[in-house]
Amino acid sequence: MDSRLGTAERISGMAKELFINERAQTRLDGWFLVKEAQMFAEPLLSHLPSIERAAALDRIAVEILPLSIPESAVFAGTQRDAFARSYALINPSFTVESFNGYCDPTAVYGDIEPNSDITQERIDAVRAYYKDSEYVRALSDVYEECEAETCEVAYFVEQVTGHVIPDVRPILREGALSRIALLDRNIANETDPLKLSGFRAMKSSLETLLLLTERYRTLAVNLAAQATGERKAQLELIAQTLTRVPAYGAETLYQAIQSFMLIWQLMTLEQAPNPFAFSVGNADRIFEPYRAKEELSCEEAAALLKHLLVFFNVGDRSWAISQNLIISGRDANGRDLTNETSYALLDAYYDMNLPQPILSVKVSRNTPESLHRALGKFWFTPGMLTPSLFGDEAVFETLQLAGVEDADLPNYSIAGCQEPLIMGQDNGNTTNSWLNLAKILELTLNYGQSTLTGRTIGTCVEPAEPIEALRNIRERFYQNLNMFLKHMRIAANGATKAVSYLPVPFLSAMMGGIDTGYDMRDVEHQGTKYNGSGCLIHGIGVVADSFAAIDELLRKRPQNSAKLLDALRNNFKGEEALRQYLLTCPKYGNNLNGVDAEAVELTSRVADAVRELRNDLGNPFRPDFSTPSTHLLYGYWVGALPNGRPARDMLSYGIDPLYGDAANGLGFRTLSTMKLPFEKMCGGYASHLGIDPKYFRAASLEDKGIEFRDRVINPLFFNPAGKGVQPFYLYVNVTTPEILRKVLANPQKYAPNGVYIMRIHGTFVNFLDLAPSIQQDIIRRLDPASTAMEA
Amino acid sequence: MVASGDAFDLAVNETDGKPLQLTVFESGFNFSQDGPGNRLVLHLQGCNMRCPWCANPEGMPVRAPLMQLTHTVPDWVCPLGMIHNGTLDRSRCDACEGRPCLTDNRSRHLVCRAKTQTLDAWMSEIESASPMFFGNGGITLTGGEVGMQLDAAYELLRMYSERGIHTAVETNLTHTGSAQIYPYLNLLIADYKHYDDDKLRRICGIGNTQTEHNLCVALDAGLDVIVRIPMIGGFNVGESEIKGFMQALSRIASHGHDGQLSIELLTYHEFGREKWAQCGLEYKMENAYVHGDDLRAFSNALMNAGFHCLST
Repeated sequence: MDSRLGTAERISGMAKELFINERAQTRLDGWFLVKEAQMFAEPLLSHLPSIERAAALDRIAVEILPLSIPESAVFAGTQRDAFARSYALINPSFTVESFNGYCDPTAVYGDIEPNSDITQERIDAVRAYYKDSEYVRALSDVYEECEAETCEVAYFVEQVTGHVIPDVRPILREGALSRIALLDRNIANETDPLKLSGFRAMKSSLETLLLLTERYRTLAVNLAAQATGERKAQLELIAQTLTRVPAYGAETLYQAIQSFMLIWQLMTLEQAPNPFAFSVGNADRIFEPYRAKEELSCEEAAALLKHLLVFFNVGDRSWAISQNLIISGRDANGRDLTNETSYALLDAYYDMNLPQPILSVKVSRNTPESLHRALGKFWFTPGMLTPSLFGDEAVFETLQLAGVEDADLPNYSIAGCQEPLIMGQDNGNTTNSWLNLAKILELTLNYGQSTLTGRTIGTCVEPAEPIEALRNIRERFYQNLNMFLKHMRIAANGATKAVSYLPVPFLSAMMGGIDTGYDMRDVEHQGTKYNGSGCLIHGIGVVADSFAAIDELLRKRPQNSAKLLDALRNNFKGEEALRQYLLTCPKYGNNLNGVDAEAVELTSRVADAVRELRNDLGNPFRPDFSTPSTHLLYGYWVGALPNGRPARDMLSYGIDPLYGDAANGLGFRTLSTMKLPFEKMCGGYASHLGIDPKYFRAASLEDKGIEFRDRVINPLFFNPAGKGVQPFYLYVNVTTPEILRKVLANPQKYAPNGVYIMRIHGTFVNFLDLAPSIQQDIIRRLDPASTAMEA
Repeated sequence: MVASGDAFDLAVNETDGKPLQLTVFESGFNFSQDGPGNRLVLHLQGCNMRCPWCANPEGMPVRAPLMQLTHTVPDWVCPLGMIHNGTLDRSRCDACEGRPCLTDNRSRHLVCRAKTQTLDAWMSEIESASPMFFGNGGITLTGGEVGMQLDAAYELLRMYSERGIHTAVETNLTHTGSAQIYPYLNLLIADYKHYDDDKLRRICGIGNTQTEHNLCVALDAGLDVIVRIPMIGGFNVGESEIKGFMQALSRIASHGHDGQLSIELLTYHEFGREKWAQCGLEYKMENAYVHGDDLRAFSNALMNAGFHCLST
């Protein structure tokens, strides 16, 4: 490692100082300055095709952006200017009631606090300009069209930004200039005007990357001139490094990280503000060739990687949420791909314990014991981040069934929380649509009228006698489901089309665009090898339980049919005895055949129906059974249900049973989970276990890692008795409600540095940063009875 | 139906020609406890002892008790009027045959966890749980006290043993017919709470003569045995108690062969305290936690004497 950087210990210390410095940033104004400058420039660029205009706007952004290299930084680059202080769940003023069924892309202008420089007038002017943009108008039209059905979230749609995994490896390896040369050849050989325009835009955006680099290099030279000693040497190294990367291929790990940061900076800037959930993919595989080349020790590599981790933390609450790094996993032949950088990244993560970026670990049957041992300290250190887990064998099978070619399978990566996409080849449009089965059930039972507001939302089923309505509930529910799906597809594709008005040439250059010439957001010409649209499906557990409860009521108390429907309309007011009866009906998650089969059938039918939908490119929607805290938001808009759940209470999370309903321990809960049709979940799914550390009694953290593998991971992912495609995703919080209540009551004692990391869905966050309602959700969903490991 | 001597031989499964039934008050999985690997553990209803530290007091009576899970219970839960101002009249509830609170007016306030069904039905449930028998796991019968439903336990163990499923039983071995199940066991976990017969009878209601006898028979039969000693402060912890246990264990270990016998020390906990209240019972244990030094002293004594020692 270059001696000008200092020792590994010193570099690590600087990474920690850098994080502290970042957390002191209470204003994030860069994105606004960029949007304002682009506003002024855009009219002058109107003659250009949209993708070339976008490339020119990238350049404007880089030209005007104020740059800095903080005192503790050993790399140039930041994501700070791409994000606003917006993300709801880590905003203390967030409330569950705040969801309004409308996604206003200009709402972000309300997240910036005016001051003497950035005045309200400036903010208003920029907001007004973009409100009248083609993109915002198109999106507004979509929402107006579907408002009646999204206002109480029978479904929801949104435009997707971020949420893909660029393939940065060619630029790291060969340099941006070699990609430009490739584009020059394509331009010379291309006659199609659309593709020509695409190639030119991508070339221009790569040149913008070099402009950004040059601006940082100049800054580093100037800062070095004023610095002394160690800092001077470091700044000179930064300046020298920027003469090489990203223009040319990296030779060392230091150069590779530097190159990566500038690529990432421009990529996020291109989609400012708030391109959440851009993800890295297998960071260990990306960086290992450079570490190995110079034979860096694990400690040295970890020290450099700590700066990479800090790069993903933006501002006082780490606002750049859901950016995901992966380690480990297998190749197409089952060979384990864990390497030295996998362990260096783990060491970096452990030492830093930052709220971002998310860590995911791919495990397979051949994952070495040493990796599980290394993970022990993550599971069992209170307040420490924990990785989410992906079972490679089952993910491979599921993606294969969805049409992914064998050679691409090892490159699956995670966009944001848990959606598997192929790095550099897949625009999964992951959070495009959101389906609320529980609301559809409520509307089906009440003939299209909301039991919360009385608003008519829609139904395609005729009123019937209560007993008939209940007896035919499944048929009626699926009829309504199909109607809402049709409407959802139109709205979702509308949102996708709206976002296509904002091409992303720089990102497209890392998503296959250099070969296809098309923008990755294009809805008429497919720019990526794989393409789809995501649909996040909510309410599997509560709807399956509701069907089971209706069946039992019809069997044992058919005379109460009308009473049930009335009770649902009145949120069980005056009918607590009936509600208690319903609560004691069989619930999914306890290895009970009848109700578990209900969950299987529901999951299967809904997945098939979603998969039937097509986006404008003719590609299927991807069923994604995850509910990233939307089980709370959408639950608030669902009335009382036949499973005994009161109005406005949360829905079941992902594929999990509703909290409190699976009270017979982890073994039975796992058995229920294993029955689900995971092969149909090509869009991913969410599942969480709150695990009490008391069940793990090995003497060392490493040995506890093995216990965790044997008791939690293997039975779920690699169960020899498992049939079909096995479960493949899991995140955990290893703690108890009592511990978390103590942390909240006395944060100074339990989190003296102000950071206590917990997972909320696919992402982890500082528990102490969270909105109170989300803190309480975490505590409730630990649901210790559902994960008990001793009977 | 609770025996009160040193031993009992009552057959609680009086079938009258009907299929054998088994009553279980709790089932769940344990990993590497109560036997190797991941195990389905069935807690059989009814116990002939009355250990005041019991972690599963709901398993003691032959007729499973009502458990009150919420601070108060709405009056409507009992149509017979046995709830007043949110409180159960336990004396009347105990005599109630029909228990409409568990059927017509069932709720999450008041439950009875026990389930009685035929062995066929239990086997079907066990079968559906078998994917979790990984790591050389299997099934473990515990209690309550397994001896209280020995006939049904015998049949269940026989059937699973013949299928090659690992079987274990945790029992106080006070049933005179305990040895009947030995041929179908891979592991016997014997609760041995005190070496002093009188003291054990005074506190738990039954002495240990039959237990020791059955233990020796098991060892002579070549069965793998774990002797499980719950270490309870004020009952069986201290220097003289270690001496007493060591003498008794040496006597027992003279049966069988090396490697057959392990000793497991289980330190006092209060995981069951809440359940006592839920069953309407008073939890009377006080100051019973065991100091680490006492545990170490006992472990060391056992290891010095050549015993294989487990701590949980």
